[in-house]
Amino acid sequence: MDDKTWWQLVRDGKDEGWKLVWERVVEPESKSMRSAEMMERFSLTAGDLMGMLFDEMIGKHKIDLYRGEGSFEGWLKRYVRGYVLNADPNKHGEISIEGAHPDAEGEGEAMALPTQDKETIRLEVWRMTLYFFRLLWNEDPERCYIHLLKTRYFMSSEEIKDFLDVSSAANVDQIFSRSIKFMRESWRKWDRVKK
Amino acid sequence: MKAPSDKKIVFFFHSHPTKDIKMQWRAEVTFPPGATANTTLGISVVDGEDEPVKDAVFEFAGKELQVKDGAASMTFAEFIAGKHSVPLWLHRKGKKPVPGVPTFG
Repeated sequence: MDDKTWWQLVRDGKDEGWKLVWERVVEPESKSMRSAEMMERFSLTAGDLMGMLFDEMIGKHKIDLYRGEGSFEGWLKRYVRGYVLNADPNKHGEISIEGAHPDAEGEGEAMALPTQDKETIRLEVWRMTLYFFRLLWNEDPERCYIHLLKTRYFMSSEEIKDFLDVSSAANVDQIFSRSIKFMRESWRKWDRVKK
Repeated sequence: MKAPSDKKIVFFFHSHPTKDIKMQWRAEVTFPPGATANTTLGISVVDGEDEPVKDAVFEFAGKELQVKDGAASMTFAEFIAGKHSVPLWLHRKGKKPVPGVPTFG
């Protein structure tokens, strides 16, 4: 499959395209030396990366920023790396493809002295994620089910449509996008409260 | 409604913290591969010490399900009918009901 076809499938939210995103981008990147350690530190899972990508590409139409310069796979990988690099719990929602430029590789890590207890932050991230998930449940449990089916069981929108009796796969995408947005906004509110 | 034929889906829930560990609970709702409307979903409920809850009522997906020796059940169709229902409680006879939340397993 050429890059243009793949891009079009991803843009249209087709399972075939997103399956390749999982196989060629998210899964390899989450196991790479570069990202695996940081992901563990910030309690990020491959499912989170997939959810983020879906939200950014489809929800925020960032997919349209790809101009066909360089490979689509490389472009998506830079995006994922940028997300992982910026996954500091104190900077949630700050995603920049520029931050993941290959020339900037490793920057920010050099000579970094610990100023916080990582384990405490990790525990707080986990507790707050569970808390926000509970708030999501209170909004509508179906959102939680879709969130879990996408991020834990990697089910396609078509499969989830059949599973939960949702009217269409597009509706599943929309609900999932809203649940991601809800979780992210909850983090932003929490960050504001902490400050 | 139809579950994927190649994987088992499990949703996990646990109670809010309680002073008495025995009053805590965890529940797992299991959808077997290929489940359809009439398929019975297995639900297991254990207390804070991982012991099966002997006798209680599990309020989930808009239904009040009888729990006997740590097991309860409902059909896939019943689950779908109550998929928007928020209340999630374990009621033990003569005890204060304990609410719960979904978790990641």
